[in-house]
Amino acid sequence: MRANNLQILFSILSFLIPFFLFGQSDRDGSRRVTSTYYISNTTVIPYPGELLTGQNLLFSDGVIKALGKNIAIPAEAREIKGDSLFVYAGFIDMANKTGMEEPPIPEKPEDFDPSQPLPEIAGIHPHFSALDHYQENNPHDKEWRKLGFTIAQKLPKGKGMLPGKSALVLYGHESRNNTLSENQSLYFKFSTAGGVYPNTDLGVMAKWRDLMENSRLYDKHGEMYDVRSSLRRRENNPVLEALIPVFKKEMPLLIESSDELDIRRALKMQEENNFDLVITGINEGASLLPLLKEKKAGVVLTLHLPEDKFSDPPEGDKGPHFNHRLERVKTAYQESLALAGEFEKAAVPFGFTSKHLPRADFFKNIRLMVANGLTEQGALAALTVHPAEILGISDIAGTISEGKMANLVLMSDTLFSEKARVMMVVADGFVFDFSEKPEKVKEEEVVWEYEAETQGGKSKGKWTLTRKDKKWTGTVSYDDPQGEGVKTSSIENAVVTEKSLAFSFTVQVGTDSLQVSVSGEVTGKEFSGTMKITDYGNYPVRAKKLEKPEQ
Amino acid sequence: MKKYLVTTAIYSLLLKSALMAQIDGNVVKPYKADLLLQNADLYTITQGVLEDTDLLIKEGKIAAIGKDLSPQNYQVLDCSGKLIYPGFIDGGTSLGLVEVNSLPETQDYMELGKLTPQMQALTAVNPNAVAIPVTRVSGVTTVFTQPRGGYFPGTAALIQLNGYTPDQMDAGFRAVIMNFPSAAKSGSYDSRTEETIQKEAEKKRDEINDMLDKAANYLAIKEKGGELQYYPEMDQLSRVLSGNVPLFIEVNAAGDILDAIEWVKERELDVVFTGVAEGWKVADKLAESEIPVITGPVLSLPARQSDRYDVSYTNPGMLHKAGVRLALRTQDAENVRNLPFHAGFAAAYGLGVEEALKAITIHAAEIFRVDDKLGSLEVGKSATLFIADGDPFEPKTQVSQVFIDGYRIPMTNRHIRLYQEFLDREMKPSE
Amino acid sequence: MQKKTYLSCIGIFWILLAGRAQQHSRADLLIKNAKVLTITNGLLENTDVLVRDGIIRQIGSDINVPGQVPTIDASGKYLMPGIIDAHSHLALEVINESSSPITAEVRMRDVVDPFDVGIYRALAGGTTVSHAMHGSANAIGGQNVTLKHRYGTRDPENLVMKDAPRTIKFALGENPTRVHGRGKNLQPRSRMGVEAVIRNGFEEALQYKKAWEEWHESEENKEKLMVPPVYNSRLETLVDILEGEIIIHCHSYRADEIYMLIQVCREYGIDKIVFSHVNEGFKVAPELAKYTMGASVFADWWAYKFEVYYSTAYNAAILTKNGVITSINSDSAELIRHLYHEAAKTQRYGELTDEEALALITINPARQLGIDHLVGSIEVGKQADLVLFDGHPLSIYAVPQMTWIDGVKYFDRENDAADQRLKVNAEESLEPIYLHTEHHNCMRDVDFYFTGFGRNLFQHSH
Repeated sequence: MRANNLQILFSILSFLIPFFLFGQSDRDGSRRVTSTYYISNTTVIPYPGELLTGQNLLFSDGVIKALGKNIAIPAEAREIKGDSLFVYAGFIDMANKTGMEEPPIPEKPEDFDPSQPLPEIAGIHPHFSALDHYQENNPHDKEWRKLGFTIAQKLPKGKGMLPGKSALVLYGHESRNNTLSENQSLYFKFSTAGGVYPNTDLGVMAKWRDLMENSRLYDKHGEMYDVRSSLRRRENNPVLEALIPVFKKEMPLLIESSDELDIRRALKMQEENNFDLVITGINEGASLLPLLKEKKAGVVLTLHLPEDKFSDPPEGDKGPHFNHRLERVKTAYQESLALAGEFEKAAVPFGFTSKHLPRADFFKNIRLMVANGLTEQGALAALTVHPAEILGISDIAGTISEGKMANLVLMSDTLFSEKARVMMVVADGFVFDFSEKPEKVKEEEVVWEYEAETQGGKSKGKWTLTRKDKKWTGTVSYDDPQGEGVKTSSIENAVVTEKSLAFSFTVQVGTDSLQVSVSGEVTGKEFSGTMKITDYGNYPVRAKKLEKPEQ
Repeated sequence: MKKYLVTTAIYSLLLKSALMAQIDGNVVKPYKADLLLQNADLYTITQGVLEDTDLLIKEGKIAAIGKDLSPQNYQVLDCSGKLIYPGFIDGGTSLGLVEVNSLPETQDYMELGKLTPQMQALTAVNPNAVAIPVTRVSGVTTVFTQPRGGYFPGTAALIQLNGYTPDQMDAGFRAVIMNFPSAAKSGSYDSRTEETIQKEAEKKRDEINDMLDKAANYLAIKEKGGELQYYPEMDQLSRVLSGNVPLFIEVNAAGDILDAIEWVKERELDVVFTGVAEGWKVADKLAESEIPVITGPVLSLPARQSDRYDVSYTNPGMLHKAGVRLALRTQDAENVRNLPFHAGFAAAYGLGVEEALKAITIHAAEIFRVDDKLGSLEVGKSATLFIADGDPFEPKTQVSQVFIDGYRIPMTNRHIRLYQEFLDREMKPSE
Repeated sequence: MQKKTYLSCIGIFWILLAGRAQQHSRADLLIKNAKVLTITNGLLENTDVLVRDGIIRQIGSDINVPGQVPTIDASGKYLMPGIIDAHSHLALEVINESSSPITAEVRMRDVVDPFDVGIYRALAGGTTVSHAMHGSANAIGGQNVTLKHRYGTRDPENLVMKDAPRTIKFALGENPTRVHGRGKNLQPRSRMGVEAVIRNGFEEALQYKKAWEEWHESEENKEKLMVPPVYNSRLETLVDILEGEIIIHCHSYRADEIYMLIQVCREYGIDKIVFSHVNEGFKVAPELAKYTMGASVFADWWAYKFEVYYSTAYNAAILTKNGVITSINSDSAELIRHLYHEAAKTQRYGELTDEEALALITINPARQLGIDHLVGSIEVGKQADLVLFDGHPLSIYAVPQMTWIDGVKYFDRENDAADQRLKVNAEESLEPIYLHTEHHNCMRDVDFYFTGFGRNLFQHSH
């Protein structure tokens, strides 16, 4: 239902997209020439677990128009060369607060009674909207976009238990309105403004129960008054008004948790008042998996992981049981790393939140989770399809298919490999190219010793590959086919990923030139693949990476 | 139920007469008496248990111990079936320095500043603190009462729990207190990083070293007869350095204890360690250092969440087994009377009754250098002792008489007087 | 290599331990040849106790059962009912909601912390049930929860003794007047104000009850159509108190304030009230005996604040001898480990009999919590919360050996691992050390009101 609304909203937005120049020329040259693009001959991961090669992906006006090997490319489409790229659906961040500002809160009056504060002073302002306090063009969101995030659920800030309603925003072009939806969920947290009622989780739980009950009564009052106006007028109460969609299950309650006891409290709240529940910030609670599954709660895991504190323990604290204690810290650490994998194994779908996460840790932490039990598909799902489902936007986001929003991440390698880099991000159909200014990539040289079986017997030599400005060049050495000695040719069209290697070169034999292409898989330091000599045939080739390339 | 009423009736009869006696002017106050305690079991501590033996108190001292001592002209107290022990010594309290714990007006155990070694606990001891009579009727006759606070919070004193002036209470021992800066994380609210914790501890330790270096300088000038400005802090620290006043170092975490052992060795100081909550973790090192230890409270929680539940109970036993010289403390003020129970728990959890008894008698006396006067029942020592009808560690045991330096202590206090007054109230609620 | 094996053993042990406690919440058990301190039926020498499905089924000699029932040879040892603490703050994440003088609506059940290692330590001292209370900051505090110390569970609800009746915390004297009067310029600032605040609460509750009754009537009568009143769980709770559904446990010290609340309760027809701490209870012992469910006291605490300066360690004895239902409570994570010793102190201070002293920590607190039909003595039909001592529990040398709840063993001195933490901080490098900390925390979570007050109001906080 909501998704449909979103789509309507989105189509309205699309309708508005063409610039109206009102007689002025584009004096700064800031307009784009076309809003239609296609990524050519690329590898697409349309959804977790599927990989399509040699694809063309066409998008226009922010919508994916076609995907396939042979699709019609309109003349106005601008090409993005996708040969060496891996295209993923744009990531979705949940429960994020970057760019959010604290809402202004009324001053405490002189004769302030902390036992009966104004709701706003007590941190109870569910009627506030995240969007009213959102700095749309804040630098943080742009940085997150560089990492592949194209949609974020923005939570309102606020000190107390009910800071307001969340919104969904696009990390799109700054010239556009990037709101996807307002009033997306109601945000609840186990925290307080401090010094006023409610002041602790005790008060928060009690206050919540009273608010829910009074919201029902408020609604009932309204209904009665509609029927019979001779009754006492219903005073407008924005706080209670804001809670009505929650108990009517028209809006989920998003509860922030900081530990497994918070998760249990959230489930208890749901049991008492029967609403749609999403729990965010989950960092523990593998033992709660059956319960979470049973209650069908939406689940958002934190991308923040603990630091390794056991590998380099402090001096001076040693004594009996020291190793035992250290071992327990290590176990707890490993459990944190394995949590996402546990959720995946239990088939509880979850999204991720970047809250509290330093950007530099994003890929690192996901890789840690993958190394500790989470599958790569699971990790991708937690960044794309699952949050889309939890947020109710599956029909516009989360996967790459015709009709969905053009939110894409173009990677230099498969997503979770060490060397993978975000080359471009497409958000709302706008292309943000980060390939021009790659983060400092070190010059790198790799030397392989290969051996190929050809008709003429074994052929040996070296492949020397050098990366400069993210482009691989190099030379191939081989026995001179016309006699003694070793000859070299330069490598062309090299595509190097963590798990694959492909390139071609030309061998001059007299006046003839042989076109040779090599491609195959890399496993650690081993290469295994085929060498194709045009018009001659395919030959198996194996290679070993040299530890320290000779200069 | 009937039994209640009968006992209650008997009690009230007895108590009423006692009360009357008071009103009649029979003021109860300690008095010195020469007295022959006959036919008791003497728990001498140093010479085993002497069954069915007499003990003569004369001029404040134990004048004789033996079978069938001649009563001569002495007043005689029949102690058949009773046990006599030397007075118990609490190795660390704030008794007399505080009246009502939450009221700063009555807190006299802490002075401002981190270097105040010249502050004298004995100055601030209130001889009429209500807690003193409450304490001594339990057989705890002697306590080490100490200031707390900064690096060198002051000079503590061993006091007898009887007297009208601090001087009369003075048991003849003083020590400067020092708090060894801890490199441990103190509780879950301590949000400092390891590095900060370590750095701060080092900085504090450096400060203490500077203070002691200064004091050494002061001492050198003093010894050479040089002219010195009035500097009471350094003057007192210089007494520590010259060996005239011992240094009592409060240290608890295992790592801190090891550091403190090294530090003491480097600085060649004459010290006693107090607290030593994690001593069990480094008991061998402590024993090797030969530094005496005053540990406690025994009835306290383990220092760490990961510790076995009973480590505070077993700590004294483990220290003793390793060969550490040991006394006990309650670190209390109003409930120093619980010292025998702390000792009893230590006894039950590995220390053994005999050693536990020594820890609050002769070993404490040795650490406080008063074993010529206190800590055992021996001829020539102070008549600081008590009579009980059983094992004084057992809660159900009643202490029937306490003597401090030969003074017969009235066996009453505010707790007992309130009991006497309210056990059987006259005006009952109407039907 | 050896180290590795050792560590992996610990790992396995942990899994087993966690599994054990969660799988069997009730068990079978046969204890042979114990000296059974029944509490309600004297000391039975050489007696067997049979537990089936967590309930004591048989007490006698030479009980033999077919099949495999875990059997303990308790020859020479003392078996007593699990110790009950009528005033504790163990296993709570939060203690005070101190933002209002009345917070009857808050529930301690919302903040039960199963990871508190203090639960295990209490078990190791034979304490099987504790009354997890709201703090004493407010004249009317929150609703307490009675816990069974089923340590090992990660689910707070598994600790809750679900068949225990509702109870609520009240507090008189220095704490509420300090927090609200001095701290926030709100009533109560004096003991007069404490009475007024409580009376105001009860009167508002009566009005509230009336408003809802009128509305419910109007629902049935179309002519009288009304809009519903505002829901208020604070007043709902006070109505429940007035209707006798909740037992009041009131933090109190001075005789005058105790008497005040007795009078107020009598006026409002409330008879379910227990006074807690009640250091001057001895002064109004006849009134406590006549009008209340008794007093839960400390064995010897006094002088930590002015309102306990005129206390006596003979309090429990005076109260007992005046016919007051008396219990000894801990209010402390430390004392809860040796309540048997605290009870024994009444033999020094007032010479209570063994039976009287043991009742202070078993059947009497059970009566005050309204659970005496379930626990508090060793009787057929009662829940098998038991503790085995190697000596008489009132002896200083007695060491608890094993503790059972509902027939399940949760503590075994011989076999348990040292480290009993259920949860470990993954980022902990230096383990925090707690020294001489204030273990009694009636006043935890109220400190925010007192920054800049110039003196420490929290040093002694019961």
